[in-house]
Amino acid sequence: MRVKISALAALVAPLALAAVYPLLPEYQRALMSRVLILSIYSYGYAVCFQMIGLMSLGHAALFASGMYGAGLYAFYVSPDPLAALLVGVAASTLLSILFGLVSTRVGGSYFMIGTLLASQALYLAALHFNEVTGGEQGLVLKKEATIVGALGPLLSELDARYFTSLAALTIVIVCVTILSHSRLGRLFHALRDDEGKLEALGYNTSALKLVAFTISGALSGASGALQALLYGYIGAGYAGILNSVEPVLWVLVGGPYIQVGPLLGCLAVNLLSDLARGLLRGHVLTVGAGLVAFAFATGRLRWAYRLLGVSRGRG
Amino acid sequence: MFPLEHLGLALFDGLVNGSVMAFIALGLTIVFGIMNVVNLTHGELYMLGALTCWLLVQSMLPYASALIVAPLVSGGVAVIINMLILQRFGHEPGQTILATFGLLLILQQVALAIMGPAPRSVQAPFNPVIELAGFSYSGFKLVAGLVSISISLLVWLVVEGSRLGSLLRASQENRMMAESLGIDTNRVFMVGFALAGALVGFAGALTSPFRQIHFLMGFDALAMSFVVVVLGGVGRVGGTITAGLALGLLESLTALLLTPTLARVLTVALALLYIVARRLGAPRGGWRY
Repeated sequence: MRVKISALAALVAPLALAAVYPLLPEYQRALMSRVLILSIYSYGYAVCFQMIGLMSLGHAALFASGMYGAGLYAFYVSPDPLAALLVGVAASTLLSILFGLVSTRVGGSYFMIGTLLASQALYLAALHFNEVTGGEQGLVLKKEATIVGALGPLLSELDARYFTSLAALTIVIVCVTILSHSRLGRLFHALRDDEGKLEALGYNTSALKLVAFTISGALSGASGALQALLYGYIGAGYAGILNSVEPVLWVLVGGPYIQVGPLLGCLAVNLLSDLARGLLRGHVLTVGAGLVAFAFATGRLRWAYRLLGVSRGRG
Repeated sequence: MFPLEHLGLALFDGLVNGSVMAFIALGLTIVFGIMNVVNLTHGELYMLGALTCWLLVQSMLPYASALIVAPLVSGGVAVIINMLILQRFGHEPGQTILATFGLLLILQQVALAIMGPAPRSVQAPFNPVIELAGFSYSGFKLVAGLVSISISLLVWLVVEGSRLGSLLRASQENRMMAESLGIDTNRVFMVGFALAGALVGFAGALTSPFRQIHFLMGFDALAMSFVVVVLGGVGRVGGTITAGLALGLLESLTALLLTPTLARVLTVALALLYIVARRLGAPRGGWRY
């Protein structure tokens, strides 16, 4: 019964988000479309973290690979947003297969250190090739190369951003909900709860991890590609560590139901940190304080404690 | 085209940089390597050391005072973090990583509030130019390298040879057993954190005359420390020193041909390959595709 309610909530959520849009003032509309794009990243991260319990600290690299794939294609090759989106997702899928092949072979805290180092290496590489990537300052895409530009005749800039990201998010929510109820999703959960038993039943657990990591990376990359194509900007800042650790907090704040949790967590953290923006870079402080608070809370929250089980190196 | 005329300088600078790198990583060897606590604030403790140094020199105090105060500040912060937060959940890895990552972000913001976003620098108290065979070198940096390597060797002796090293290892390997033998493991961890924090704070003050002081400087130090600790063999202080020297040499030799950033990318990639090839942390047996 619980599962059905959360699946229902997953279907209601996009409708609610569409219904609330006309009521919002302009600033909140802009804020919300940013959060909706990030929610796709949040779902992507949850596939890895919440479903199989792997806490990656390098997902910013996967997000950024989607962003750079789409953005560089639109900037250098052809100003076609749809093709650019596909290139972005393909780039992040390839990178996450590579990441996954490498990182699922190590366990415990080395998984986290490994993903952290890998994303740092890619961040430095993005800075190094700054003639191509624009480095820290980034590149601004031409208007006709972005989705906003392509939808220009139909929708205003604000509407185009909001409804494109909402449409993409809806697809992601439906896919993740179906995945979590499918056989594969159940195997992921089983892997998280007892890897040893699953292995003893004859399942290839490393391959399962690789599949989950790849799905996760492709979704994260899709979020990055949308970010590039809706805002027309790509920059190395998105490949930094802050972007790697934020989804951890979103998923933890979101609660135990993967169908709606990543969206709720992403909304809550970002709206809260928006309130704190009056402080010195209040966003970073909010994320930092949230992580420390959750480190304490996971001792009491059984589902969150289970998520961190794999990072205990128990596997 | 290998620029041979710079080879002597590159080798020498590599060794000095390597000693410094090993020295910065030393605290992480104790906390992560020996005590098995993934402390992501290590780099920020280094940054705090440098920040303290800058603050003291700004307020017209001599540079030497920073070498005393910075270890106290960083060591103190490490002890507070351990006592108020990490000890509460018994240094459980998942929770420790969450908490220390949060603290990393908070400490960065504190530093930003204190020194602002611009990079700062500290004047070296003395800096004679030393003429060596074919090239000249900064005297202060040479002294800093020598101090780094000497303290590293001293810590190696202490951790390998003294009762403290055995206590640290015993508390990590089997906490329950250690406690039932009458060891106060909380106090042992506290000493470990204090020592690690003080060492890296000292390193922060020591290196600030020849490095830029910036509120984001800590993360690079953290990443490089992980690289050094992992390549040197986790938990082995001697290995950390060797790995630091080797990486310093490798980086300055590759920087002759490539840019320093690319040299760093290659070093990090090398560490990743090592982690994967050795399958660190992976359960024995079943990993297959």
